[in-house]
Amino acid sequence: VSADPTRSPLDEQVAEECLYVYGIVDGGRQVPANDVAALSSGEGLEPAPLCLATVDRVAAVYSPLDPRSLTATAEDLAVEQLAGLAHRHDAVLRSLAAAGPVLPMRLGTLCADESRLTALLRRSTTQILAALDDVRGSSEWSVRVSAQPSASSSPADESTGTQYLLGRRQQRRRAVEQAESVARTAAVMDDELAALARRTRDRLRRADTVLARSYLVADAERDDLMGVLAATTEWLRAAGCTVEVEGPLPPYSFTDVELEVAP
Amino acid sequence: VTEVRTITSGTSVDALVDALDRLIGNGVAVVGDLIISVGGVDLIRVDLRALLATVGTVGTVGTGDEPEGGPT
Repeated sequence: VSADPTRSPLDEQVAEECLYVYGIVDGGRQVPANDVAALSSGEGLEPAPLCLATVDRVAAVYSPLDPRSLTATAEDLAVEQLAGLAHRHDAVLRSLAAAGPVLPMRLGTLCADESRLTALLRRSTTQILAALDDVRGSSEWSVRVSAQPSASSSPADESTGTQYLLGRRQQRRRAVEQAESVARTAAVMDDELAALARRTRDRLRRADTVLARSYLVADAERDDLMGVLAATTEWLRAAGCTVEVEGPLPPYSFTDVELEVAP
Repeated sequence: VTEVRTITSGTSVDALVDALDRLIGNGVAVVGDLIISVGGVDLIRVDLRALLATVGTVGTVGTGDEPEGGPT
């Protein structure tokens, strides 16, 4: 963040307007106009129209934004504002993904003006088209299986210490067996989903995480995907696990593209 | 089976951290001066990463792509 001689003079100015960039789509796409109001009103953010900057066969989707409206987010790190920004970003990208391939930008990508944005697209068109083809016809599905700690506590009303200890030991053994069969079932689920997927990616894990992974699955495979999920989630939930499935999502976890701004 | 969650201020911290990990940790990254700053404060991209580490207990990602700036 310290002084960098390569930075543009814009860094020292307070720009009145910049562009918030959501993602990149095929050229010739239309922005879903009827959804604009609903999509652009994130909590704590002014509603803003969705716009397209098109260069030949690729287009970036953006909203004009007063960058000063984000300084509070930067300095105060308010969770509500951040959630509002993430909500808008996510809603726009889901809407775009429903109608064709989209490359999500990282949350919080700002561009000074449209000429810089189109210059970036023009410079990287080949790379962008390849990345769009890579996710075309596919969606991200995210699966998180969490094991709940066993609800039962110490065995009640045991008359002797020996009975108490036996009960405790039995309980512990049952818990271990249960954890093993949960892990086995989750592993089977993961194997079957991975077999359907074009790519997989690990997600954040917590202490209670059994499985946390995203799968990039061709839309043509969706029925098979649903079959695997239905077969395994029911068993895991009956075994006391929490199973969260999200999808179809834009290919967030499968977009690893770095675009270089012209020097 | 499908549960499409949307992010709101009522979203639990764990779910928000999950969502932010997905929205910040991946996607098209722009290298260069496209990211602008206001009054010398770099805008959200850098700070969002720091927040990801502080907003909740952040676990580790199997790929080794851990958030930066966590408490030491």
